[in-house]
Amino acid sequence: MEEKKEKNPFFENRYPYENDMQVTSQKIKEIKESYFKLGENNLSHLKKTPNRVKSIEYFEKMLQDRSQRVKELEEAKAKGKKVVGVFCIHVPEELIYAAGAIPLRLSCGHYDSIAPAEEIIPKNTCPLIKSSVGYNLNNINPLFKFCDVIIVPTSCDGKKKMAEILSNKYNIWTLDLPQDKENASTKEFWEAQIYSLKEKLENLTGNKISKKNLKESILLLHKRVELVRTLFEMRKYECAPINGRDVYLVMQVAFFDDIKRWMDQLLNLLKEVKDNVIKKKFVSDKNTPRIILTGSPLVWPNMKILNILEESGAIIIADDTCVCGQYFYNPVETDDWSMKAMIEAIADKALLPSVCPIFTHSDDRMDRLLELIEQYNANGVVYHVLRLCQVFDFEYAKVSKILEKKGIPILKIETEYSEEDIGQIRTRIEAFIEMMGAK
Amino acid sequence: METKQKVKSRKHKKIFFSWKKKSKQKAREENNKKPKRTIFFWRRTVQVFFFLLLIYGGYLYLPQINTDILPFTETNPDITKVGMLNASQGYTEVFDTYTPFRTCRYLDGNRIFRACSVHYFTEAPVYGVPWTNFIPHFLFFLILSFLFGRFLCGWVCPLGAISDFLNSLRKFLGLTKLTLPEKFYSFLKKIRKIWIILLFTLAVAIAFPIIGISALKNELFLAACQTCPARNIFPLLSLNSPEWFAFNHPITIIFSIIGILFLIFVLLGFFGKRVWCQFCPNGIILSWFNKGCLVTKEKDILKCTKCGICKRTCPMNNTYVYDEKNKKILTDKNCINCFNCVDKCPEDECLKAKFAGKTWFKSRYKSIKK
Repeated sequence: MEEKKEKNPFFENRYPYENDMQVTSQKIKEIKESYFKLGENNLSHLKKTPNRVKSIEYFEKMLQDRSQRVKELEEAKAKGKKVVGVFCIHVPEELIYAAGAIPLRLSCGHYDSIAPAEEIIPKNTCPLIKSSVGYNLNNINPLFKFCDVIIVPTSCDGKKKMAEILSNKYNIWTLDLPQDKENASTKEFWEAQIYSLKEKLENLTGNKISKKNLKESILLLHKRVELVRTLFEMRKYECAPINGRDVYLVMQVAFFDDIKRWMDQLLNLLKEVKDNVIKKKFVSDKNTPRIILTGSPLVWPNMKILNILEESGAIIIADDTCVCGQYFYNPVETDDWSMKAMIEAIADKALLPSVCPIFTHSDDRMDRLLELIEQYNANGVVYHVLRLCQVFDFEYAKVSKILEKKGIPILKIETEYSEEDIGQIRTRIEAFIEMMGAK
Repeated sequence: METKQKVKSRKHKKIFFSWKKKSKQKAREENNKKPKRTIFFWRRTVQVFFFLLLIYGGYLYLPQINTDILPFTETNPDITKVGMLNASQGYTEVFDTYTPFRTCRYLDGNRIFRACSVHYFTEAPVYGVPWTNFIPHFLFFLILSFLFGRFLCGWVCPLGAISDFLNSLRKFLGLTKLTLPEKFYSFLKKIRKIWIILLFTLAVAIAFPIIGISALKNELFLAACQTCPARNIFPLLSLNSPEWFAFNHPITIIFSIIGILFLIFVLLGFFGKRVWCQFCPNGIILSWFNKGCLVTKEKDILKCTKCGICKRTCPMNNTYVYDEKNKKILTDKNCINCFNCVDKCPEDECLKAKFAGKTWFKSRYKSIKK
């Protein structure tokens, strides 16, 4: 039994079957073009922003043209480095960097990538999962072919079953995420998962994760959190110096970019934003309604709601989603640099501060949302739910009742990736903004 | 030509003054960037100060302060002749009073205070100290306890300081930390109540003649002192000879062995957490004052991101700061107010350390230095 496990350290699938998607290369080309065009369209909406910082050009360029990153990953693989595909925020990146591998977040929000994926994934599933599968497995994502292994945490139902479907053809590791943070045995269970992930990474890459490596990567990622928090602090002013959509672009590039270069570019952006604040060059004025976005994540190139919101006269000053606001917000804090203490700190950071609705209790999410509303002086909340995303839908009742008691207006938008309902959504959002402006 | 020169000099002056302004602005910015000292720095300073003062302070040849307001009764020489409980050079401390933290009477001849309050409370019933002598010392003890509660354990007590110094040594050497199992701590918490009741019962039982016990009066006297880890380690540190064992009688041998066991608890602080402080009789008495004392902590529930650092870094293994989701003010019997949690919390103004209603320390986000 032990020998079998050593020979196959990946997800065990005893009844594998053929599940290639029947897509012609012409169709793939069309999808790639539509992805590129959608990106262009998104960026063109942003060109009219007043007082826009110039350093954002790097991030725009990286989103549209990934050839530089393709070259870098080719060179890295030639040297023997491994690339690890990642879903969700519950996978600790500190371990991946300490083992000398490169993490790559694989989520996608593209409408045209959904159609091929519906052959292997049932139709009534979250569009984010269908789109990610269609985008990556058909190599519309130029970076996917370098992945050696994909780590899938068992967060929601869709992701959990997607892991088995992917395992027919690819190497998968699952990370068993406990669903109840308050349980007494959660801590031991989750720490055991992190220890086993550490061993698997060491076996995959051949590098030992020593105390020195791990300390370096913890410090590097701590620096990243500091930069991101400084950026978010800038949005607390009365008049915002940077758009919500620009911050979204910055975070989307971090899905696949080289971490040190990304941090340098973010530092340049921060300097410019600080300069703009001193010179009083703002993007919005005092009367612009300030909105907090919460709910299902919006992944590039899905910027439908963001465009409508910010073009109808509001500004998004904070958000609660796992792709922008909560992605790099929580640091790994430890007072002891022994291996045991560092693993404990990493395990706690990957699980406890997460506000994802896949957990049984949603009180932590309520705390975070109420704190954001107070700190950023928000006028209203937009609750975005992707159609068929059950967990976010379930939590809407509690969030709306609590915010009603506090007198904060909330608007629920349930939508998909297609552009058909833009007109309806625009009408509702404009009415919402008018109501906020009137208060 | 003159006007040209004048224009030039004016230009130079302008450039010079604008450069001066910029450099002053830069200096001000850099000063703001300088990191403030952490709570750990202040606590370590205070701990080192009191450690040096209380253990080596007697070498300073300070004059003895005559405190007539705190009168003291001489000891009964018959009773103090048990083993090495003699105060061989007489009482020569600076302040002849007792403190709620560990200042030990075994620091022969070089003491700042006379002894600790557990010693006094287990000794006073035996001598039959008159009320006029007892009440001033008791009031002094009450005032310190009401003001500070178990803050004295975290910032002043030399035994706790020894545990913390050993922990810093381990971090410097880069050794791993060990976590003792939960069952051990819950066992200690159950036993400590029984232990302190036993100590006080023995003290009172010696005073009143009960058959059998009064025959062992000399051996059972000052059970708290005989089993205290400070009896061994303080003389060792102040460069006198330690008193490991008293071989007179089986009871004193048992007490000495228990004392060595408790000394091992103090030394277990090397592995990260304070073990003796869970058990210390002085600590238990002070913990009754923790809820009403002037040292408190405050938590803003909304700002907390539930990162868990407060329960990971607590030297007493308390989780109430993390678990608290409703009230604002945090007090607990087991907390030694070391403020590690406030120091490490990464959210601005989530946890505050307060004394007498005024905030002295706040949590804030800071980058980790190497």
